Amino acid sequence: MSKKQMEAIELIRNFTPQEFGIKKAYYKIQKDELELLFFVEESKMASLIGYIKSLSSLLEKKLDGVTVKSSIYIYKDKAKVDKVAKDNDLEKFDLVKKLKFSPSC
Amino acid sequence: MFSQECQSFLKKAKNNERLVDYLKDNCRNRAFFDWAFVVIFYSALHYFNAFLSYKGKGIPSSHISNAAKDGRIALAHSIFYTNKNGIMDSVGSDFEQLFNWSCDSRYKYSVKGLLGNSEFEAALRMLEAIKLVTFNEIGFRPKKRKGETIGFIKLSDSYRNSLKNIRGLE
Repeated sequence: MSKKQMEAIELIRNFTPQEFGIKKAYYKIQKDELELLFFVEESKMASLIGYIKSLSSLLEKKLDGVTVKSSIYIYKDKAKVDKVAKDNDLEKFDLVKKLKFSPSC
Repeated sequence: MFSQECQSFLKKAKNNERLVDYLKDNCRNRAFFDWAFVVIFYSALHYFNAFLSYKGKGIPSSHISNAAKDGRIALAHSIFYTNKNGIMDSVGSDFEQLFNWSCDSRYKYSVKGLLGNSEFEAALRMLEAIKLVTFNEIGFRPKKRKGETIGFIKLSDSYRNSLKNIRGLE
């Protein structure tokens, strides 16, 4: 994993807290591409799609040379999500509970 | 008045929507129902093409950008929005999500199991938003009955209320 990819993962983790309705999130690194999968509450889907896509787009601009591909699914059951994660060798994000603000924000 | 090209994209989008309706009403529990996600994306694609054609922009030859040109997804993020008749909305993110689900459905056997009825209903709402943004921006007024059109103010109100509903703002 490159330094830029590590930075991207840390930023995504901090800006996608559980309080937004994100139940689980995973990532996979393939060459210069960072693939993200978010499992969200059904009621939050409409607003989160715009937010997560914008976040991915901002990261691509900030971390020039890293392609960020994000996809969103509705969280239904744990077993199904765990199976997909296992079958696709996905790494799990350790999601934060609430959005953190740094003093510089 | 729309160009011939713009009209043909609108017709194609509508045809694809008819197939989505058919699959929704008759094939919900069939193994091939995941193809509904592909048809929804291609309906959205033709609405976007109509939007581009109306604006006098070239139609991209691929979904993904290359070193020389922006692909359809990047272009949707930058210009697929409306800001007229008191309606503001952008659908680039919806377009990309529909593209991702259509790829999951076709190519990713291990992920496509995640696409269920909830995602299907969400995809339909995204397609509706894409259609309304296109109609509002290009000034398309669907015919109510043969020869009769819906009044402009009533139509704008209907677009605005539908989009608010889709975005969960009402």
